[in-house]
Amino acid sequence: MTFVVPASLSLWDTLRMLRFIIKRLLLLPLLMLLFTVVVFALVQAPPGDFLTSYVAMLASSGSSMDAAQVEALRHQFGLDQPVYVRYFLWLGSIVRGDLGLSLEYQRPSSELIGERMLVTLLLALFAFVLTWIVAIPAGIYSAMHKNTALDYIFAVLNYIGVATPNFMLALILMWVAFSNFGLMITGLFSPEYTQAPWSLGRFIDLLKHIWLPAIVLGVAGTARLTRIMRANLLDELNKPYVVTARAKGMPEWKLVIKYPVRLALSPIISTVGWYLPQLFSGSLIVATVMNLPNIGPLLLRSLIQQDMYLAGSILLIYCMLTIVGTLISDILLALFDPRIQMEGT
Amino acid sequence: MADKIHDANAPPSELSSKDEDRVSVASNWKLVWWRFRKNRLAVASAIVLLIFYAVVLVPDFFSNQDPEATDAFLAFIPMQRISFFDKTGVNPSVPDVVGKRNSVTLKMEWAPDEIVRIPIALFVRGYKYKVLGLFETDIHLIDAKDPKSKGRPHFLGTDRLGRDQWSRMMFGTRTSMTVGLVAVALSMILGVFLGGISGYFGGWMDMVIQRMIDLLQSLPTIPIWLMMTAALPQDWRPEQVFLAITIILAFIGWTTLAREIRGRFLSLREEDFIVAAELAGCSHLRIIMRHMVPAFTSHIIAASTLAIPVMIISETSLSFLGLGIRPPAISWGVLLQEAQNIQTVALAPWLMFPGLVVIIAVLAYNLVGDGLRDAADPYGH
Amino acid sequence: MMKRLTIIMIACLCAFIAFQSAFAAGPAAPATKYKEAPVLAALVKAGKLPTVDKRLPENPLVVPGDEIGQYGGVWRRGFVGPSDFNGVNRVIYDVLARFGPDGATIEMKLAESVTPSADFKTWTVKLRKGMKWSDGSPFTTDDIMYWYKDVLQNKDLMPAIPTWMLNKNGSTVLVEKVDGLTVKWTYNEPNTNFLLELTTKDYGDRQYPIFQPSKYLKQFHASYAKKEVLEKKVADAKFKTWTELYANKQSPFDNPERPGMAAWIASNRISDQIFILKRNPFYVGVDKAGNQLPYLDEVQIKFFADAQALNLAAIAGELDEQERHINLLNYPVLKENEQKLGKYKIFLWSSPGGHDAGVVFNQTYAKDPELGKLMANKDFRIAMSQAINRKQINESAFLGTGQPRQAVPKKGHPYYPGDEYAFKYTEQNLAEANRLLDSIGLNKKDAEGFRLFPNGKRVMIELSVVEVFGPYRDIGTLVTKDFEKVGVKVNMQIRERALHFQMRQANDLQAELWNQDTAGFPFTGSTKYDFRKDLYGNLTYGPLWKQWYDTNGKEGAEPPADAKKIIELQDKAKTVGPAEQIKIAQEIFKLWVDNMFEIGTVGLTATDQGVAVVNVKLHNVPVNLTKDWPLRTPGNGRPEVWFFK
Repeated sequence: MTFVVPASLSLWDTLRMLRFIIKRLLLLPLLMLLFTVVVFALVQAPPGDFLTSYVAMLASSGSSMDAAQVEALRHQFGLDQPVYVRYFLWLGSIVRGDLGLSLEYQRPSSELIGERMLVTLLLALFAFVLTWIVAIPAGIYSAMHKNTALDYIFAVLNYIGVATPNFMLALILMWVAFSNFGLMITGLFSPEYTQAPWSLGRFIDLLKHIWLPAIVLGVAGTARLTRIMRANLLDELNKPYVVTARAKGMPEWKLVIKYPVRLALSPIISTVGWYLPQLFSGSLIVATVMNLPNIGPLLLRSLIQQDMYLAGSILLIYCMLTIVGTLISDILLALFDPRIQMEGT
Repeated sequence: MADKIHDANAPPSELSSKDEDRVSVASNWKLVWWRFRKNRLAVASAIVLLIFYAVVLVPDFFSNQDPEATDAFLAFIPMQRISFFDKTGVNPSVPDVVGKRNSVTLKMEWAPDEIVRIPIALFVRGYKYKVLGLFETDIHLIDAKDPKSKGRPHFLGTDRLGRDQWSRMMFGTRTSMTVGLVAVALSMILGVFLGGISGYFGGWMDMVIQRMIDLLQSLPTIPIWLMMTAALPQDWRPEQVFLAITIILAFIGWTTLAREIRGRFLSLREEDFIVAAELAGCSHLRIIMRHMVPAFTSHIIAASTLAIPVMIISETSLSFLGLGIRPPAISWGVLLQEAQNIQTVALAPWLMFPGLVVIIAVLAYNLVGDGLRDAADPYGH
Repeated sequence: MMKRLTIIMIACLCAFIAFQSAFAAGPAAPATKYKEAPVLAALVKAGKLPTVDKRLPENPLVVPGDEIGQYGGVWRRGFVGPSDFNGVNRVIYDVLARFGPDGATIEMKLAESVTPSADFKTWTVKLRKGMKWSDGSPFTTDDIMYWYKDVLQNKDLMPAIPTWMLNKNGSTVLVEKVDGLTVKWTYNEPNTNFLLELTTKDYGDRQYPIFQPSKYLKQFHASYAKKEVLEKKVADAKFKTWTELYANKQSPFDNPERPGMAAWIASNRISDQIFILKRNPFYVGVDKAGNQLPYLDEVQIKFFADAQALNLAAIAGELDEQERHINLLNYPVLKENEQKLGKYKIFLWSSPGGHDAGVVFNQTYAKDPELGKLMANKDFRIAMSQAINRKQINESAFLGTGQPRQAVPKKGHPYYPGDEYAFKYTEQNLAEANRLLDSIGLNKKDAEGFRLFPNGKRVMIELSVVEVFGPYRDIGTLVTKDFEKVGVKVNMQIRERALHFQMRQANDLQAELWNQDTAGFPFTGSTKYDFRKDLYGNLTYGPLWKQWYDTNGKEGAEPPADAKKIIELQDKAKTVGPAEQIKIAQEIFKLWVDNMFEIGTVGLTATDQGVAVVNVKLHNVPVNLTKDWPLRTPGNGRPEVWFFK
């Protein structure tokens, strides 16, 4: 596949791009500050706090604590201080790089996130690669063979992919795999490898288990990407230059790949940056249903339990990744498609 | 879908002069309609959607039992098969069921009654209801011929509380389709308004709104949902919760539309006819409403139609998490949530039927939306 | 000839000796009174562990079991997160005295004897001689006195003294060391519940246990460690105060280095994906044949993000013994796969009584005085009880396995008040319900058939439902419909647990759906039969009554006569012997049912941790086990004698 590399970025263009990047990077701290406020407000919004959840949960299993002990815990967790004090304490620790203590796990949030990071990245990477390997060729084929039977089949499959609630799909697949094939596909590792240090064996075990979660996580994305690829490519194929090339006798496949595919891809590549936050959290519900040891279940749990430091930290990282991702998208877009003007903002 | 590439090359004299006249004087909307009509798949989907909306308007007509009537002794009845013929000729009927709990596995087991069958018919008199709150009637689409018969038809089976799924489906359709439509309508208003200001006026207003959009889109949706719905007052009735959910969904969904509209405004702003209008002294409002909006309305409608299924899935996910529409209100999400467990997947898979309906609705909306977009696309011809 | 015979005999002798030594594993092991796991025997031989006789106390705990078992194996279990730590507490049941499988008899565990004085004011606890912590250091009364002096009475670690350690006048109960093995508790008033209290003093609810490895923990205690050293430790562990560090180091689930007394000791942390507990070489228990327990080498508790995944793992036979988080409604699937796969068997364990879902009306609801007055009316509650169709609830929520009943213990329990009370008002009788409601002034109805207050307002009650014990949403729906059949409009609100508890605390709940799981233990712990207990764990039948007692009548609402009588009986029960306690308990239950303080629906189901999925190869697991939190089920099933074969 030949991509036209913008080899001829003039000095002026480079400078402009640099200025653009720097401007965005300067805005980053301000945005992050804003995000901290929003994230903190979000986590605090539901009534009660971690302790009320905790005590309620204890009481539901028949135990109870004295009011005084509850108060002691509240003091220990720092939950008895007013909201703004807690916010500034949190902000202060974030600036120092301390993501705070998870109230439920009683361990530093950074440790908990770090443990799951590698698996999260691997899983997301697989889903991502799977998505692209399937979607781009399918989209190209659909566009080139518009209105054929296969195009319609793809279309229907795609819509079903987008329409199916993926958490439901996860449970159904898990059950079908078990009852019909005797396969247990929860989690990402066999019992021997779950806590083992990384090794080739562990990696191979991961590969054996990762394909189903990757499919479930990638189904909707694949469908969407195929549709977009097809639509973009169709737009391109209608343009006069394509008609000209065809009239000049260029073979169809060569004609499609040389320019239209690349142009169709460019807006898609700009969405690559959006994948960064996706990489991070994956689909929360699916990960919980399938018992995947990535960030997803951690985030969902901490939100429900109002484990504020853990939830807040994960959300902040998420936001930061989104901003960085958007920036990368914009840069990539500019690199790939010199037609796009850099907007002032 | 018409093959646009070849049509563009067709010699213009293929159209009769009468047709040519029609085409040249037809308004934009008529042209769009004609192009849409040629897309058979889109038209079929539109018909499906119309059926759905008929259900939305009069769910009682389509259902045949009280969706909340519980009877624990009728739990987990599977879908009943309709047989159309019997010894006496055409006599559509549904077998009555005999059930008992397996003493070992404690599973409710139902077997069709060999002898007793329940005849069914169309347009039967059943329970009374009001159409749109206006007039009362008691006709139902399909029901047991004898409304007083002890055995009732359960076309989609029953759930663990013995509630008829067919009827519940009808009412669930009403809620989910309405939420989708209203939420998109709201987000369309928000999106046009804010996107328009952003694109038309530019400058600092644009920057503020863009950053706001950035902010909203940066946060993962599930936490926002969790927080906003958890913060809803707990003593609201289901209808109020319904309204709140719709607003929350719209509040999160307007950003994509706003971005698109902003883009449109930005590009349109440079167009000659807009510059001409400005030079002619038209007020901003007039320029926007009279000149710009019509230019991209069809596109916006297409985009909105494609946004509805997203809203439907969002509502389904929300209700699944227990945050959206809450029982006793019924929506597809509620029905799916009640089916999201091992007992259902393993023992009562017919309860997952709403998933199929969601897929059909989303499929239909997407095909219609695609069709509209293709029809409205000026590059098509 | 003789010479040849001799040579042959000597050769045979040599062969025999050679034969022997070939099969003897090295030098013959010293003859011991007790036997141990091969894993530990190897360590003893390598000189890393003292011999089993030295590891066990002089009078070890003899644990009965159906069969004598064999060593080895891993018990795979599941849990749903670090907040599910009570699941682990139940497995290890690390206490001085514990309950047996029948849920009624208390047997000694770490303690050798617990003897009361004649007036029940003084209790003498004698420990077994020669007990050791899992690191080999001796367990003595110093470890209990350390708790008493440096934990219980340390205001930083425990700002408030728990009620069981307080005398009536608010002073702390006196605990004295008699010698290295004996400790004495002295109460100002008679306390017949002391032994019962001891059975719950483990790390349950993350409360400090009454015996702690003092030698190890002193380095984290501000009274013993040097200030700078301690502060450095606090900073290194990323905590802010020494109490946080202490709580972490004291926790057997977060600190694998903490010595313990349980059969299995943590080897990693509860926040890991699989929490692994390994055999304790110094465990005090032996079986009837003198084999040191436990038989099982390890307990591996796997983290499941979602209870569905846990249930699926159980269905697939991947768990060796699991009752926690198993959903009763999955019973048919479990049973089918039990036969299909043949990997596990299913036991149904029952509770000591009570019920699994009941409606409780708030008799001191203040926001709407009319409604409050209505719910405080006994006839109203009786009417509502008779409106409920319990057969339906049993069918849909409990697969028909339960029994319609009120909030009393089950038949066979010493406190059982009799069939008349267990089943009072449990028959659905709509005519009688309507008649009662008419008679209390609700005879006016509106156009839709709902009853009206005398002032014309419709009677509407909010039923708060938390989806915590089984299918409460369904039960709430059914109950709502039943109440509406007699003209009382109900608005069911499904709430999240924490919010429900907050509202309970604030007297904001009108009616709730909850279970009654303290019928077996009405006098101790978090009993729901004493409304002076903290509201978090209690039912919402009269929050303002507690306030009335707490403020000596200045605030709150005065309880009705029968409620006051119950409190009197509760206090009396603490001071009398077991025979008298039985009579008092029965009286309390009779008053309870007569007044319908709680409307029970269906009970004795296997809903809450009652369905046990057990590996077919796992022996000695009791087929019939009384399950309850105070019994730390499956702890009271004596897991240390379970084994694989």
